[in-house]
Amino acid sequence: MIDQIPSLIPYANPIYFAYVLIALIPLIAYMLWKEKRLPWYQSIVTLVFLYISFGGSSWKQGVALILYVVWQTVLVALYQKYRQKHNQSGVFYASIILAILPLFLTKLFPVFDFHISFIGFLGISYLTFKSVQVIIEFRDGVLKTYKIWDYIRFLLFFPTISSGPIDRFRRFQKELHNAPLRSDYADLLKLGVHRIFIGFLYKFIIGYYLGTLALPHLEKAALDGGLLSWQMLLYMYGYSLFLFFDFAGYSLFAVGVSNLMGYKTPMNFNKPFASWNIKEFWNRWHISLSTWFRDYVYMRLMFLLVKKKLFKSRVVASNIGYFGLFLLMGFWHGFTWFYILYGVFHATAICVNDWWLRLKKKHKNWPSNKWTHALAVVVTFHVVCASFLIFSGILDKLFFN
Amino acid sequence: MKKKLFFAFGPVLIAFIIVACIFLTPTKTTIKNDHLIEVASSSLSSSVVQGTTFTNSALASNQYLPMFGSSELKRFSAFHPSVLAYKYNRPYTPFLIGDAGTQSLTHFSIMNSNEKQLAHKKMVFIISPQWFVPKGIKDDYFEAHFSKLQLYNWLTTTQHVTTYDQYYANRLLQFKNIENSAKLTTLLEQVADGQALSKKQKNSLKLERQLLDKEDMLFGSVSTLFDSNLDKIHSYEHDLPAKADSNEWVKIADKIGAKNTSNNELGIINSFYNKNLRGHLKNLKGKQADWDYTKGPEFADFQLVLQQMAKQDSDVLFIIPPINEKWTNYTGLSQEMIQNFAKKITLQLNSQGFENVADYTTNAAEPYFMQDTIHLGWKGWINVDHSLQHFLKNDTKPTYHLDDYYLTEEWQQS
Amino acid sequence: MEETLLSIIEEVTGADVRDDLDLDLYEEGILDSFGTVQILVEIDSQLGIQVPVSDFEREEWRTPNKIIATVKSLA
Repeated sequence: MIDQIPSLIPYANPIYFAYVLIALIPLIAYMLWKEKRLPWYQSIVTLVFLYISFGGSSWKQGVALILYVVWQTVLVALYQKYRQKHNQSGVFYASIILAILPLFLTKLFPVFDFHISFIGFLGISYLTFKSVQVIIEFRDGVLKTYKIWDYIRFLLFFPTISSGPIDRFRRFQKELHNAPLRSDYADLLKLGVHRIFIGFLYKFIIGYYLGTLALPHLEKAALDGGLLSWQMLLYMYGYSLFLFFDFAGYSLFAVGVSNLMGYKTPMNFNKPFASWNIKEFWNRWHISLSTWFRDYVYMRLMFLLVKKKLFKSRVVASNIGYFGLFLLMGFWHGFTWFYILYGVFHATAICVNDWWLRLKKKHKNWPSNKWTHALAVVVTFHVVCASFLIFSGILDKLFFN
Repeated sequence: MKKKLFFAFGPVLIAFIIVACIFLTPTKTTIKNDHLIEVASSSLSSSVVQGTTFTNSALASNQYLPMFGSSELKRFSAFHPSVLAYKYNRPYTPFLIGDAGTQSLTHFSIMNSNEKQLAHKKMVFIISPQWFVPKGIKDDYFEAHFSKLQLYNWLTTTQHVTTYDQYYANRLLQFKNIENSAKLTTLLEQVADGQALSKKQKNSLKLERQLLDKEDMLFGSVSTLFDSNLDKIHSYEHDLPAKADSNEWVKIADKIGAKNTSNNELGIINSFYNKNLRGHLKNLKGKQADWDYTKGPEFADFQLVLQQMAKQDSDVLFIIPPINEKWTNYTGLSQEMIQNFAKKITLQLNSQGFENVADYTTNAAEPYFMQDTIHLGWKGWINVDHSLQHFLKNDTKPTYHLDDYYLTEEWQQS
Repeated sequence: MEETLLSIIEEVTGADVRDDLDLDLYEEGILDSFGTVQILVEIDSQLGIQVPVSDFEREEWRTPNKIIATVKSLA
C-alpha cells in the first residue's frame, strides 16, 4: 500500500494538484456544511503530503525533517518555559543561535565539500524563519503562552512548507481555531482556484517557455558573447522574467491551496516590476521574506542603534542597517560570492535610493509627472535585473570556468 | 451559494474535461509539418532522443537516413554529413540521433521504439571508443537521456522475454533513477525473472504511455524549434565548392583546419581549446596512460543494439573514429589500446554478419582528421562521406547470426 | 499626549502632518521602516510607553490618527 504512494516535489508536476484537490474534497465539503474545521483530517492530509514530498527516494530528507521539527519544538518549548520567569538577553541570543544552527550548517557544509545527508531538506530555511519568529515574539512578550500542537501545525503547514510564503504565527493560530463563514469560504475557494490557475499560467506555461526552452540557449549565447554584449542583456531580461514567473507561480500555488483549506496565507508578490524605486521593489517582491527581515532584523537592529545612540547621524545608522540586512540576506541564499555581491548590490542601491529621496525633498520644484514616473519604473527595473544577473551565477561561469 | 461554488469549481471541471479529451483520445501521434521534421533532423533535440513522435514521423519516409552517434554529430563544420547533403542535393537527408553522452543503452531504447519505421532500411552508427570505459555508461548520462515513454513502449510490446530482454531489464535496474522508482523496479524485476507483463499490467501502462505520447507530441515540437541548427548548417555551405570533388575538398579541409587550430600545438580547434583546455592543460599531461577501453559492460550493451538491428533487419554502416594522436601523446592515452579496442569490437561485428565497418583508428595522426580530441573533424568527415557513398550504393543484403556469448561477463572482460 | 505624538512625527519625518490626520504616511513616502523605528524610540523615551518591535503592524500605524489611537491603547 505504502509503495503505491508516489514521490513528488510540491507543485512541480500538474498531477500533484489532482492529488491535492482529491484529498481536500472531504475537508472542503465539511467546512462548507458545518462551518467548522476538521483538524484530524487536516493532520492526515498533511502527513500524506509530507510523505509524498519527503518519503520514498527522498527519505533522508524526511528523516532530517523529523529531527529538525523535534529540535525546534523542544527548543521553543524550553525557551517559552524559561521566559515565563526570566528574561536574560544571553539566553535569548543562545536560543536564536540554536534555532538557526541546523540551517547554518546546511549552508556551510557545501562550502567545504562536506555532506551530511540527515541535516538538510527542502524548505529548511522557511521553517527556520517560522521558528525564529516565535522565539522573538516570546522574548518581546507579545506571545506569552502557546499550544505546542499549534506550533507544530504552523511549522508543518504543507502548502507552504517547501518555499513559503512565510506566515506569522499569531495570524495563523487565529485561523487555526476559527473556521470561515460559509459565504466567506465560498469566496475564498473561488479566489484560491483563480490563483492556482494564474499560477499554472506563470509557472507551467510562461516559466516553462522561459526557463526550460529559452534560457539554456540564452545562457550559452551570453557566455559566448561576454559580459558587455547584447546577448548578456537578453539573458538578463530572460532570467529576471523567469525568476519572477517561476517563483510568483509557485507562491500563487501555495496561497491558492491554503485558500482551498480556508487559510488566508499572505501573498508574496505584488507587481514588483512596476516599482518606481528599490524600496518600493522590496515592498512588492518576495514580500513575506522582505517583511520578515524588516520586522525581525532591520527594525530591531535600528531600534537598538537609535536607542543607544551609537551613531550620531541618522543617515549613517540607517545605511549600516541596510548593509547588515542585505548581507544577511545574501548569506542566507548561500555562502557563494555572487549571492553576497547580490546583497551588497541591493544595499548600495537602497542607500543611493535614500540619498535621492532626501535630495528630492529639498528640491520641491523638480518635475514630477507621469513621464518621470515612467522613467523611474524603467530605471528601477534595470537595476533590479542587473542584480538578478549577479544572482543567476552566470558571472561565476563566465569568470571562473 | 450554489452559484458561488459553481463559479469557483466550474473552471476546474472544465479544465479536467479538456485535459482528458486531449490526452485520452487514442489518435495517432505523427507530425505532418515537413518543415518541423526538417528542423528536427539536425536539431539533436531532447525530443528526438527521448521522444518518439519525431523519429516515428521522419523515419517512416525514405527521405531521411538515420545516423546514430553522440557528441560528434553536434559539431557542425563544412564536411559534416548534414552540410554535404544540403549543398549537393543528395537524395537523402541525415536524421541525426544522439547527444553528448548517448551510448548503446540509449540507442537501443530509441531504436526499439522505432522498430517498424527502421525495418529493412540502411542506417549509420558511430561507435565512440570512449564509451567503453570499465564501468560502462555513467549514471548521469543515462539519466539525462532516459525516456519513460520509450521504456513503456518496450515493456508493453515485449511478448516473450528473451535473454536479451532479461539482460536489458537487469542492466536498467543498476541505475539510480530506476532504483528510485518503486513501480519501475517491480516491473523490471519481473522481466529480469523471465516473465512478460500480464495483460492487465500492460493495459495500465498503455494508458500512461498514451499520456506521455501526447505530451511528447504537444511539447516536443516547440522545444525542437528552439534547437534548430539549420542556419548554422546553411552558413557552412559557403565553404564548399559548387561541385563535389574530393581533391578540392581535401585542399579546403587543410586550409580551414590550419586556420582553426592555430592557437595550440595539439591540432585542436581554437574555441574548444580556449573553453575546455587552456588553463588546466598541464594537469592532464600523462594522466590517461592507464585508461582502458577494452573491457566493460558497454560491450554487452552494444550487443543489445546489434540484436535490435538484426531483429529489424537493418543494413548498417558502422564508423569507428580515432582519437587525435597529438593529444594522446600528450595525455599518455595508449593508441595500442585503442587498436585493441577496434579489433575487439570489429570481431564482435564481423563474426555476427555486420560487415560494413569503417574503422578509422589508424588515421589518428592525420592532420585535421579530428576537430579536437575525440570528435571527427574536416578530413574525418570527408572519409566518412566516402564510406557512406560506397555503402549507399551497395545493395547486397546482410545476413545476421547472433551469438549470445557477446552478452556474457566473459566477453565483457576478455 | 496627542500633541507630543504629533511633534514626534513631525520631528522625525520633517513633514507637516497636522493638516490631514488621516494621511497615509507609508503610501505618501513620508514614513519608512527607519522613520518608524525612530518614532518608536521617541515614544519610549518621551512618553515611557514601550511598543515591542515584533508587535508592530503597519496597518495600525498608517495615519497620524491611527498612531494616536494605537499608542493610547498601549498606555
